[in-house]
Amino acid sequence: MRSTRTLRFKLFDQIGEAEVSPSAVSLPLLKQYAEEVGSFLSGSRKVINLANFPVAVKQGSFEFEVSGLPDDIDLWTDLRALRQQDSLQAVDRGRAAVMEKWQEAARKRSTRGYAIEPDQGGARIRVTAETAYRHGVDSPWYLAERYLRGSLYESGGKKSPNIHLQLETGQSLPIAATREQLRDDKENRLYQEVLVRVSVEQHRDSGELRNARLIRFEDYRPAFDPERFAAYVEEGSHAWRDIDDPVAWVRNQRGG
Amino acid sequence: MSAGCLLDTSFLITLAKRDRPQHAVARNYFRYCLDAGIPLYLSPLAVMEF
Repeated sequence: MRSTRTLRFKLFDQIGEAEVSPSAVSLPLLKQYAEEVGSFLSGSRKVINLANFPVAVKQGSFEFEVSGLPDDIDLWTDLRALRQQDSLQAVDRGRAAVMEKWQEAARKRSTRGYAIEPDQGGARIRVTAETAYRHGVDSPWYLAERYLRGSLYESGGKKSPNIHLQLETGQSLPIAATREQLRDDKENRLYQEVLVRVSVEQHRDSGELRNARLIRFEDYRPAFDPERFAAYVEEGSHAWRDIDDPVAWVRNQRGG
Repeated sequence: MSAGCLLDTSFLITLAKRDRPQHAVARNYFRYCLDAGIPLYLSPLAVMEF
């Protein structure tokens, strides 16, 4: 049976003299906060269907407690990354956008604050006027999307599903995946050469990769097809018919 | 495992244009790379020019 976890989102503020609570919250604030919590949970890739998870509204100052969350989605990886305040470049861009909104709101209004509390002893994430959640522009690691080709030698996992790829560079790279991505893939790719699209952190100097997440497996079977090649030549010959000397043309494009 | 080939614009044009003198050579190189599993790469500049 699939393991699930609970996450608490807390909003702190005041309406007049009163603390925001389930019995005292303005409709615009409630609507906005619910949307932001939803965006944070699902991330930019909409990894979960929000309709499937029960939400309890609690005192605290104002709290949404979301239960039944799968424990194998990238949400938990992002929460671990958010222990560092200069980590927004390392988390899902949808979640980073919510964190930026919360940080800006907390700076503008001294009574406003936010917290995210994972269960199972996960670190509490706080956003207040004193915190400074930001993109770590000084970090040598930058977030990129890459096509990676390599030999897949491991796939699966109970708590943290992933695949392991032996890259052409020699680096062995674990790539986080969702249970659905692996379960729904119809091909047996184990011990095969594969091409995958990933989001990954890459070191600007060494080129080393880390914290990769699978976006998708690519259909990659390079083979020469005479018919398709003939069609390509037909189209290419027509497209370049007015260029007598392509070498001179390229040189000219590059400024002589 | 092979490191791969970076294809320049002139190669792409020669591969695509039937009346280029080296068209058959380019075709043979292309086919050889595919058959041998040699990865082919394109730079953004070559894609833009082509």
